[in-house]
Amino acid sequence: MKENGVVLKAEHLKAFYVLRSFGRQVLVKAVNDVNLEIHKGKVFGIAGESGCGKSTLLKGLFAAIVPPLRLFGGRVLYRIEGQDVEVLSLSPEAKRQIKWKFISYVPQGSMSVLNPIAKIKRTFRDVLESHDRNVEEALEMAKKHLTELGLPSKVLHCYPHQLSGGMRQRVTIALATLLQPDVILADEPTTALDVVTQRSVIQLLKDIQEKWGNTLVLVTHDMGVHANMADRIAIMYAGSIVEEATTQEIFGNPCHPYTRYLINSLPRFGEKSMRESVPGNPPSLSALPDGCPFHPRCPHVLRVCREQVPNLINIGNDHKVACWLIGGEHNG
Amino acid sequence: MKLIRDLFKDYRFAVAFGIVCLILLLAILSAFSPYDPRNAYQTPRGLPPSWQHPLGTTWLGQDVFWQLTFAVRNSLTIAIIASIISRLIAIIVGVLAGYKGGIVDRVLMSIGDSTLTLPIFVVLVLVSLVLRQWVRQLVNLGLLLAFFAWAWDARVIRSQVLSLREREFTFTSVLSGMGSFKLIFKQYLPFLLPVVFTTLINNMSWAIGMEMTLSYLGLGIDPSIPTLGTMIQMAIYRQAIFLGLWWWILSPIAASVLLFVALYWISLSLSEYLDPRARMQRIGGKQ
Amino acid sequence: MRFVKRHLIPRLLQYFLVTFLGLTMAFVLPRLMPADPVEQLITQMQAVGAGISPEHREEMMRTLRQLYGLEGTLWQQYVIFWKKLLSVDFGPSLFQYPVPVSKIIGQSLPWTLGLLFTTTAISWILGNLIGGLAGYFHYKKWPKLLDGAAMLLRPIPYYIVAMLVLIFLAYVFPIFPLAGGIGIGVRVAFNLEAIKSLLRHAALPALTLVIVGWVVNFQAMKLIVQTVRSEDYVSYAQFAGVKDGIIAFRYVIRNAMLPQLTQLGLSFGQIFAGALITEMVFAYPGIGWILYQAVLRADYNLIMGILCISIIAITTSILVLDLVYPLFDPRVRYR
Repeated sequence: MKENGVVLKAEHLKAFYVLRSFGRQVLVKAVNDVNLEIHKGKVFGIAGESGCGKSTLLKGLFAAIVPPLRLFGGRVLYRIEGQDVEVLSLSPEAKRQIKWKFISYVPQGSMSVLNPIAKIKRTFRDVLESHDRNVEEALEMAKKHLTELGLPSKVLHCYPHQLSGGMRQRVTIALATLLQPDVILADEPTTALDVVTQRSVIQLLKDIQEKWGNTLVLVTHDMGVHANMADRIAIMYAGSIVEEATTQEIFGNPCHPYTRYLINSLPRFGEKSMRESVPGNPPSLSALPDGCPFHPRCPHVLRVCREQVPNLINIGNDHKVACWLIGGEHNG
Repeated sequence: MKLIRDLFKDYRFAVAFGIVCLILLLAILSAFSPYDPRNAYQTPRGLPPSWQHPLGTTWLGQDVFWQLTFAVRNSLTIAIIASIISRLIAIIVGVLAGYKGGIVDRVLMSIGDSTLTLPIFVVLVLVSLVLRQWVRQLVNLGLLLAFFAWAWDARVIRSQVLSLREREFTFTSVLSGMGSFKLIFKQYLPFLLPVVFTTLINNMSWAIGMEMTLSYLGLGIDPSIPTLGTMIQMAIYRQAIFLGLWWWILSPIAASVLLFVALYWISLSLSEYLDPRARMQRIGGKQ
Repeated sequence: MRFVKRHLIPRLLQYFLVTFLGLTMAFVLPRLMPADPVEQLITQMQAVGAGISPEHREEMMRTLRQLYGLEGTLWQQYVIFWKKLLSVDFGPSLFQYPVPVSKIIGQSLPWTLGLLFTTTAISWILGNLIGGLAGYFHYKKWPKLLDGAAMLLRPIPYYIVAMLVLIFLAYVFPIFPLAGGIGIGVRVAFNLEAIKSLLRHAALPALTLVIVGWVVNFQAMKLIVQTVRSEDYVSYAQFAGVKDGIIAFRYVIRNAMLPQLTQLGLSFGQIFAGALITEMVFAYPGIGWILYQAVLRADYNLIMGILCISIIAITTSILVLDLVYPLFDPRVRYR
């Protein structure tokens, strides 16, 4: 990882859910051979439909692979203080030390990520104490933090159910930035929020990133959010990355048929034509088709698409695509 | 049916099913008993198990094994009567309360709740005492037990009906002119039956247990009619323990324990099979 | 505090209403039945051989009717019932005539309550503790073994467990006494001999109740903890690197306790019945034993008294539990 500024890397990551249903074992291939390189200080977006495996990918990046999720191959590397750390092979205690200090996580804004029977202050304390921070100092900082994030400090004395969805989301962002981590992973931070709150959360994340220069990995199906925030975007489909490029390239020059559909389905100013959405349904992650996972829905499907999985190749300009239609020459 | 085959994959269901078959076999065997269960002194008293008397004989000169076949048959009869009737009442009450709502709902639920909050056991004792003669019959005891067993289920069914009522297919059915009865019968029952079936099995266990307890108190079935409860009661009354006639008291206890465990395991595997959430909890790889 | 009042008053009202309804049902039930308790008693006495001449029969029935509060119109009876109830008068018992029922119950109630509360507390705490740990480490071997044991024990009713405990621990291996609450001739006092005797006699009934109670708590807690463990706030706390010990206690167990508390309240009626049944098998001098005696002698007053006291005991315990619950669940406290 001598390349400049790569702070988080996934190599051939395979993580499947192992489900047992009445004697039969079912593998849900949520992350199916994923390779990613995330550069320091940038905002990296991961886009895709619901059920494509993005949240699981985040779990993998966060080294939170717990049953029923199991690692079936690959590794995840963090660049901590100049050293590459293969995080998936660390002991739970070692992992625990790194977590939240190097890399933190903003969960999907749901009701339930905060302990319902503990006051917010207590949750902050738990995190701080577990990382051996001087609690009093840190709490003072936390209070300042919260005010900066637009929350009144009396939030600390409330229970989660007394706060609104937007406030809870901001509390989780405050918690995520508490130890000033190098990398922040955000999982659908704007879903389940009303539009007004969405905007303020996006702005918040932007401000934090600008102020502290940390790396942000943003997972959402909302292409508008990616357009607003991401420097690079990876498009995910059925457990694999099908395209990865800078934001301009993705929006201006989408190569993979799926990406094309995604971009074309976005409403644009001035255009009044019908929006076309992708025909068909995404495949079940437990019963993936042979070859390219998108081929059943692809209008340009070739015979090779049905048989072999295309590799993710660089077609220049740091633009990577996994499709037999493109860069056929580059493939064996 | 696929359902049965899937259930058999669960070892609990398989074992329990086997035990239940065994017990049913015992019950059926009662029809071939060479001894009349009501008569005493048909065999030598107090013999330990032997080839002629596989479970020994009682102090009253009855063959324990053949007594047991009748006991099992009668206890099962009571249990079946009690649980089926209470399920029927529960379904009727639950559906009425859930579907009609309003005053009907409140009244029915209040009646049901009051049977729930009362200490059922003491009430059963009281009622059995006052209706002593009546309760001695198998069927009557079954009815009495049924009276106290419907309330819980009625509530469960009611809440199911309440949620079913709000679902799309209800609106479409009503709009297309389906009569209420038909709606309930054809559309709702398939949802209700699984729950009802599991609680039916639990109810049977409870009924058998209650009969045994009531018999211990001398209330309940006529002691000359063998049931699991009366057998134990007779054994105790005749000092089986002190006389060392362990087979007399342990046979019905063992049979009832087997029955309880079997019924329980069946209801467990059934409810786990039917409740996807419960199934998900059993999933997990190794840590 | 205003919140507390807003919840306390309605809850108390509900308590009185439910208790009132329950007691009314207790009143109504025997009068609904086609058989007459007085006739029952007379018939039973005659069956045992007491000779009662026809004139005496009439008089006996009238006296009994009076004693049983069955005289007069339904409304009159109801009023008398409540008058007597409020002055804790259940009439004289037949079993120990003319000792008033309230005295008999008063003597036996402490035995039952002592047994009941200690065993419930022990089995609840033990069951939840072990169940919690088993749920937390559910992938290990020992929880699976315990689970298997629980699956065997769970369906067995109190009665059978009591009998088996009696047979094996008092008869086959005569470790514990067969019956009674205290040794014959030993007086209840605060000396070592009395206490030892008390404990020895309470051991088997307590064991029965703890076994049955423990199994129920263990199974429920294990299941709950398994669910709670996969709750979002637990995995989030793990993400944030919160120490295992803190998670186990403050996130998992504290949350798992809540449904257990509710469950305790709901099943209190069953636990109470179980205690009564166990007492009967062990001749432990509590309410259960008295009930048994009352049944033997068709002591109607005593049974009614026990019924009323049971209703009150159960509704009161549930009330206490309900009032304690908000202390543990802030979602209920601040609404």
